[in-house]
Amino acid sequence: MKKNSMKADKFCYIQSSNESQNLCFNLQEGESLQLTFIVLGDVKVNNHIIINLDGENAACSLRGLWLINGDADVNFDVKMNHHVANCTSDQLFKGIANDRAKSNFFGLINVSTDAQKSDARQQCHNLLLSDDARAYAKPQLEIYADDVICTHGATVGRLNDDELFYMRSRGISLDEAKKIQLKVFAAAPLDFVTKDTASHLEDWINAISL
Amino acid sequence: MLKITNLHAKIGDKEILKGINLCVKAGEIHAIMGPNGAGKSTLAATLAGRDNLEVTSGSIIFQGEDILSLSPEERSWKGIFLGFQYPVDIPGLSNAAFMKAAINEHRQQQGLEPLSAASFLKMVKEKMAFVEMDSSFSSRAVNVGFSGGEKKRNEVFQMAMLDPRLAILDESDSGLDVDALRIVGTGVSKLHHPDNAAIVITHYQRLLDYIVPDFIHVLYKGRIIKTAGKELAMEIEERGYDWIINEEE
Repeated sequence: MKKNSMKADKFCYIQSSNESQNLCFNLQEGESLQLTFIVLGDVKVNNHIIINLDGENAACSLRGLWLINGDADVNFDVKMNHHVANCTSDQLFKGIANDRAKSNFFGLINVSTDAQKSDARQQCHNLLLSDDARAYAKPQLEIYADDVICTHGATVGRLNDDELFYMRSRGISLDEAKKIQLKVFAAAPLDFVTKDTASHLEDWINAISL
Repeated sequence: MLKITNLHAKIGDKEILKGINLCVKAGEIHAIMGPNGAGKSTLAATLAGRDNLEVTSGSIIFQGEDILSLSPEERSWKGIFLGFQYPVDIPGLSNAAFMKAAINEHRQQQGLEPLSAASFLKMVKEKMAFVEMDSSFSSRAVNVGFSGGEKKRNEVFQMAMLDPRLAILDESDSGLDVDALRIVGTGVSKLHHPDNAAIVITHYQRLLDYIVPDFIHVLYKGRIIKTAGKELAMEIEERGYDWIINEEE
C-alpha cells in the first residue's frame, strides 16, 4: 500500500435552510477527500456532487445524514467516477423522515475500463417515522473494468418493534427507546465530523421526532 | 405476588391462551413445561406486556395491582423481568449503554439520582463476572454476533443488574451447551431469594437440575392441565406428555 503523503481534505456541510450544494472535486494521485452532508429540518435541498478520481490511489469518503420533517424535500445526486486504477470510494447515506418529508437519493458509480482494482462502496438507508414520509433510493453501477470491488445497498424501513419491546421490557420508556434507536441509526455517517458537531445529534433528532 | 385468573389471549384471530390460572408466591419457583405450540411463550409475552397480542378476558394481579393496562416499561419498573427465548440484537448500542439507560430509568421511577459512572461500571463488572462473561461484552453491541450461550448469559446478566421481583425465563436453556447451561442455571438459582419469584419455561428437565422448582405446570392447548412437584419433570423426561394429555382428555 502506497503511503499517502498528499493532500487530504475534509469538509462538513450542515444544511438547515433551502440552500443547495453543487460540488465537483477532482482528486489527483494519492489525494484523499472526506465530505459530510447534514441536512436538517423542513428544508428543500438539491445537492449535486460529482467526484472524479483522476489519479491513482485517490480515496474519497462521502457521508450524508438527513433528519427531516414537515414538507422537506431533499435530493442527493451523486456521481462517483473512477477514471483510473487503484482508487477507493465509500459512501454512506442515512436518512430519517417524519411528517410528509421526502428524500431522493440517486447515486451513480462509474468505473471506466482503465480503472482496475477500484474499490467502490455505497450504502443508503432510510427510516420513516410517519405514514406520509417517503424515501427513494436509486443506486446505479456502471462498471466497465473487470477486476474491481463494487458494492451497494439501499433500504427503507421503520422503527423495529422487536427492539423497542426488548428495550421497554428492561424499563426503558417508549420515547427513550425510540430515541435510542434513532440515535444508533443516525450515528454512523458522523464518523468524520468533529465531536462537537456529533454532540448535536440528539437535539437534531428531538427536533424532528417530538 | 402474582395471581393469574382465567386469562384468555389471542394473537390476531387465533386464541392461544384459553383460561390460565396460576398463583405464584414470593420465594417460589414455578416451572412451565409443555409441548410446542402450547402457549408457553405467549404466556410469558402476555405477562411482560407485548402489544401484538390481545388479552380478551381474565386478569393478572401483580403485588395486588392489575397490570393488564400497564406498558412493558411500567411492568419492568414494578419488578417484572422477561428473559427472552430469542434475545434481540441491537446493532450500534453497547450493552453498557443499554443497561445504563435501563438502570437509570428504574432509579428515576424510585426517585433516585442516576448512578455515577464509577458505581455503574463497578456494578457491570460484578454482574458480568457473576455470569462468567468477559468484561469486553459490556462495550459490544447488544447481542450482536453473540453465540446462543452468550445471548442467554447476557439475559441473566441483565436480570442480575435489574434485580426483579418476578423473573419469567422463556426457554433460557434452548440452544445452550453444557457449560452455558450450568452458568445460566446456577446464575438464576443464585439470584433467587425469599422475596422474589421465578417462572421458568422449559422443554427439558436438565435446566431444573440447577433451578429446582417448587411446582411444575404442564401447559397444553392454552390451559394448565397438570400441576405437580419437581418429580414431574423426571417423569416427563421419561414418558413425554402424551400420558398427561390422555389423562386430561
